[in-house]
Amino acid sequence: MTRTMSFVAFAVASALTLGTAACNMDVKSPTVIDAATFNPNTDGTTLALSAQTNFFIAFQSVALFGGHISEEIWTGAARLQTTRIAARTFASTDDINADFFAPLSLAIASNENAIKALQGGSGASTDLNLARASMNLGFALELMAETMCAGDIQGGPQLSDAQLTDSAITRFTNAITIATAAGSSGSAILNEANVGLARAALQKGDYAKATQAAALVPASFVANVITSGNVSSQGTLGNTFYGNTVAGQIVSPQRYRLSDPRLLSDSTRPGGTLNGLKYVVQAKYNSYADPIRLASGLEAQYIAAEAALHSSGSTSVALTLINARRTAGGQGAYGGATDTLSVITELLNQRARDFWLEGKKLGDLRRNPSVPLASVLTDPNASDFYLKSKIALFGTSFCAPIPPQETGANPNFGS
Amino acid sequence: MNYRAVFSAALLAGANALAAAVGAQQTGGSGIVSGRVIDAQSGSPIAAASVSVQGTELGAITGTDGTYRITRVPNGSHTIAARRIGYGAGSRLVTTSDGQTVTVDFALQTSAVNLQQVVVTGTAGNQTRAAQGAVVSTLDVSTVTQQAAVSTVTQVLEGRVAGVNVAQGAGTTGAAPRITIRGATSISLSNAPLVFIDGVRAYSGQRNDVGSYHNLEGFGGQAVTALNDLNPEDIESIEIVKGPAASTLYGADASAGVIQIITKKGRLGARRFSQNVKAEWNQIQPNFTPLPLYGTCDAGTIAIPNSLCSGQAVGAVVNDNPLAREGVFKNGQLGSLDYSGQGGGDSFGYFVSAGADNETGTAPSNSYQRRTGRAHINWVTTPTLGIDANIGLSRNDYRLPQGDDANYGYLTQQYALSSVFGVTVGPNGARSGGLSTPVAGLEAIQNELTTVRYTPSAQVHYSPMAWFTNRLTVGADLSSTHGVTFFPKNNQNWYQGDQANGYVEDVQEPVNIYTVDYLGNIHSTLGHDGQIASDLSFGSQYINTVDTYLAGVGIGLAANSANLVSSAASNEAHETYSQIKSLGLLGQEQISFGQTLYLQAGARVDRNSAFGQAFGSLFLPKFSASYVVSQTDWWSRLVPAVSTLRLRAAYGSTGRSPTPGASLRTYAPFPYVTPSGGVGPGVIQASPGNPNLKPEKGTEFETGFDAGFFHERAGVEITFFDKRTSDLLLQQPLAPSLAYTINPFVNAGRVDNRGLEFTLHGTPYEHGNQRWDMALTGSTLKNRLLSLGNVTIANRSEISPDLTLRYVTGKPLSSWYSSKITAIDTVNGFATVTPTPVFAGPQFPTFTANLSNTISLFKNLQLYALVTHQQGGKILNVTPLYRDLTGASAGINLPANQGGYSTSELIAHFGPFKTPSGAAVPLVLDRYLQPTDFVRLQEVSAIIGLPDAVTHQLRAAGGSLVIGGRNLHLWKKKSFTGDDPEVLSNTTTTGTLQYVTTEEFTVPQPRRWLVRLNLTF
Repeated sequence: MTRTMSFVAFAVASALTLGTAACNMDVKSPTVIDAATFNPNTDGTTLALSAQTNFFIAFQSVALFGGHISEEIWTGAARLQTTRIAARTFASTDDINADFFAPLSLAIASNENAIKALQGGSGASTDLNLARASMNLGFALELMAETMCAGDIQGGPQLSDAQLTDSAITRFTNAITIATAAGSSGSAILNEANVGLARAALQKGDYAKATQAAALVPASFVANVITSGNVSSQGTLGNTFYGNTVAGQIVSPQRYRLSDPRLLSDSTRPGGTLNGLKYVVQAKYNSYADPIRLASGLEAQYIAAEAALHSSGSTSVALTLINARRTAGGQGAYGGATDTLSVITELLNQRARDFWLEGKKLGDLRRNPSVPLASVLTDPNASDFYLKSKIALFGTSFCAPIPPQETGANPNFGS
Repeated sequence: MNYRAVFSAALLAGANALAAAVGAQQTGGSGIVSGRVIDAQSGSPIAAASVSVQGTELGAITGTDGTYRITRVPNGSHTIAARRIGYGAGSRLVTTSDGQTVTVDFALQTSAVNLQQVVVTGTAGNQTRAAQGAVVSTLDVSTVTQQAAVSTVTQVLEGRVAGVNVAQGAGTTGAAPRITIRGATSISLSNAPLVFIDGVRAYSGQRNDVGSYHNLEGFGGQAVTALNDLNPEDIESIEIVKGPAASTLYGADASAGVIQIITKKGRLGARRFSQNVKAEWNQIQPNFTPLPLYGTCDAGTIAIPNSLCSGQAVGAVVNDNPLAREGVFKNGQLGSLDYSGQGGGDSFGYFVSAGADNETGTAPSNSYQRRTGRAHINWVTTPTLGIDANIGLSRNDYRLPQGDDANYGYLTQQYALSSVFGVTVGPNGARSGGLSTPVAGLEAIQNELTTVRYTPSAQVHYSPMAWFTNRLTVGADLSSTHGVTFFPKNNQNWYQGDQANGYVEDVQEPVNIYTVDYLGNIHSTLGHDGQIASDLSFGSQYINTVDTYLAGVGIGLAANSANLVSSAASNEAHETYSQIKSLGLLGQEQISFGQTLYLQAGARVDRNSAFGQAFGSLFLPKFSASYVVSQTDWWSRLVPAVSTLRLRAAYGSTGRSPTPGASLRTYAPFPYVTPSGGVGPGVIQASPGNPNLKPEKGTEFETGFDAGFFHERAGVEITFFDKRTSDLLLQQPLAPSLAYTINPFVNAGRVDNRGLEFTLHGTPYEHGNQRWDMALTGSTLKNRLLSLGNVTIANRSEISPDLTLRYVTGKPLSSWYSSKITAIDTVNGFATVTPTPVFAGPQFPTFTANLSNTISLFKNLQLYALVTHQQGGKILNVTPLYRDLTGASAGINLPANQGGYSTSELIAHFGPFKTPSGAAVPLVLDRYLQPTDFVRLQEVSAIIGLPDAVTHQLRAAGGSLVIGGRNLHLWKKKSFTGDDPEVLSNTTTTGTLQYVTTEEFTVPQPRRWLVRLNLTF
């Protein structure tokens, strides 16, 4: 190669190298949000409300499918997986991940991440976004404890239901501390977190703490899972009971087809037919935008009454509440036996009516294993035409198993 | 393109200017070289041969009479070379002087193994085939379009090149096939080759992004391909780079191969204008009859008034064929008209073309219109500088019916969603109904897609000195797609769900790709005799792809006339945006020893935006050797028998990049619900990302030989390839408790594709005007998963849990596994199956072959036939499965002696199934897993040269009449019970879903008959 050739080759190669080095390879990717560009400090509200929405979605999924287990709901669709869940014969592979574990895990992880992002902020001690995330995390952990009987947090080791409940109590306590410090603007969160704390303490068996927290909640207080009727979001954010009623998959079991204003059913609405018979569908929720009660002063009263029964066997508080609720439901005064077990059983039946389709009954059943199942479940009538009635075998498990997606991919789970 | 890219281009231009200054000393007088190129055997002129003055940008293309003329040839000695696909190259040394004309005629020999042919794709420096260690196949498209029954680019590619597989999507007009080269090796990413048009990266993806929401299947379950936007009449040739061994210079996205489309050019030096008009008409026949619905009457169906069972006895078998009764599938047609003009002066050439195709398919609501135009100007400003400018325009309008497994597909309706008991019999015995959605409702669905595309490009060739050549290519592919899917509001309950009360989707998707490509070469000779030559090549390639997608969906319409998205009761929007930049710097050194031994070593350093700034660059090496044994002295005694023998080997590596942002930890937008029940702008965890993400790396070793026999009357090309993809990009399943909604990509695992490709071609007979040419091409493919690393891909169950697609080490990707029936007990009524599901076969063919024959008779008659074949793959044939499961098949309704299943066949299809230990097994679908082996008479044509009297009458210089057919006969295995084993309903091209091949209510390929008139003026 001559000197000229070498010079030319060098010049061109230099130009190419310079040009290449100077070229900017940055591109826009607006379809996703680069986590590095998202500032949790300035977007605390977005993080907290997003995490809260994840909890609302998880709550609705667990309330819906947990309602199948606890027989608040029968299914009108030939969906074998749901039917197996409803029959309490489910295996770990039966959509347990999609229906229970994954939405709960998302709620836990997103609220946990929001807390991590917010707790380092200068106003953290009175940050209501932080309080909200702590409270919703508490509810999610408690729901996992009640439904799955075990679980884990963000790829961590397996936790028992008691450990999950303890974690929930810690989170509710944190929320209460911040909401209290925030003053009047934190009162709603304070009441809601106290109900959560009372619920978790009751589930744990810490009746004193349950009673103490419940006593702080005004009787008229109500906090809801907020739903949205927005057309483009109703599939994910709308009231799932209403959505599934429209799809013909929500059927009112016979136990709940009563002339009790707390149990609204409808045999005339569209929702599908089978063999010429109309489904009897729930009518408690009548639009995608109908909220679902999450925590209330009424629940606090039930918690206090149940805590008294469990702790001292005292029936007076429970009987007072039972009669008040029977009146509200158009029933006469309670005339049954007044031994502790009978009163607990009646208390649970009134509670089931008050909180029908509110995601509480499965926890009630797990918390009170001594209550005869026949008195709180509605085993299908053999002559009934719903799919569930065709199932010969019913299981007794009230715990959704941990799905294989988690046990297979989380190396810490078995440790 | 940003300012830095422009800056980069400016630097290159600066380098060229520098070189220009160096070469400015080249001045002086010039002469003319002219002559004629003819076929050495027949003496007939060879049109479209390329004649060039080596070491300069001067050249010419021969006209139909074989003549050429090159002006401004600088005084002095020059090598004049003539080349044409199918012929051996000719070269002559001439001396030109001021104003003198030197006549140089060439008589080119047909050559079975043409090592002097130039290939431009994936090559640098010496671009003759002899110098390339890896195979680059060249398809002479201008010949194919003249003689074969083809109207699309994908039809041109089908059955002509060893290792190139074109799998048909559906028989509906416009439906796209899937193209793979040397098999698929990527699990997550696309296995479609890259496409370039005249050196400019072109969009070649499938389009089906309309009708994708609210339980719709995406363009009715079908897709069209951007490759067919092009008019084959505008294409001169196609070069196919088959794998990493040859595609290294195309960088981090070229693992699946490269298809380079070379369009027709102006005729430099022609000094005249010629025109060509082609008119064509096709009749398109459905080539199948829908299967009828059967049913056996019982008390319940007999009680249905005015039904086929009314008045029948229990057990009576009734049948009907609503689609056939209503004449749904009928003959379609294609009419096309193409015009091209070509010409040039001493220093320039030009080519213009316009084409129009109107096609109606065999199904209702199925049509395709293509309008194309192209203009090309080439201008040799000085002997050292040539400029090509090119623009292609196209508009494609597709209307496709709902098809394949879409709910409102014609065959889906009859095969899966209807019952013979729904047929109504009128008082006069006339039948009606039977489909869950009547034909009128299916026809009323609008499913349309329009693409407008511009492909401007310019190429500058600059040779400041004979030893220094430069090529700069700048171009763009600017396409815009508009799609509409519309379900009209009606009062007859035609549609369900969100489509019940009127539904509209409107989609806009512009895809813009920009290319800047520079390639330079310094040629030098070493040693005293100049027998050792060096070619040092260097270059860079910048490609920027921007894909923007915006869809509006409207649900619930007050009136069909107001069918805008915004007119709907509820509406929603979907938008995506993706941008990928890739930048490569390449270099190659090639040493050649005489014309015998060629050694190449090269590399490309690549950057790709998909990996972010942190990744840095990817280094892709290549090496090759080519040894032309027949050029050695000692071979001369063997030349009468083996006129050419070349041994070759090549190794190269390329990559394959994931989608943009795959390496990033991301959130995805997800609305939150506000305290008042509204929605706000929230986020959800998307992917944890992977900052260490790398491209999939494809490496390939290929070796083989080319041999020509009996003075190039017969030739053989044999190539063994071993293509391995490592660092597979796989999605690692994360524990759900981590709560990411997208599993991140990791690099893990390896896949290997090995095979043997062969091309045998020759002229068994030639005498006077009679000649018989034949070509046999084929390839084997052994696809094996070597490892998945620590990633698990879950088995995919199809219809029954017993039938799964699995990724198993040592087996082909996504192989079928099913329990196998080992015995049938007709006495006790059960089938014994293997204790567990076993390997039941690969999905894709393991052997393909194509045989073409061309017979020329009596000067003016040519007969051409192409037969295609594939074997080794298996497909799940869902059509008979559904018909059996829904009770509508002949098999389960008719007695065995009238076409029904025998007792053992009934058990084989429906069980019960038991393992040898007596354990019950759910539905075993082994019988529906069917071989896709076939032999197809793909193309037949007769090309009749018009007599001079006729052409004179038409005032034409020449002309031909072509009568032909396509898909004229199919031989398939008896165990395949569908109409066409080649079609597959799957349109997915990425992810594990691309490895799910089912035949699911797909319209088979139609038969075509054509008449084509070609006239040259």
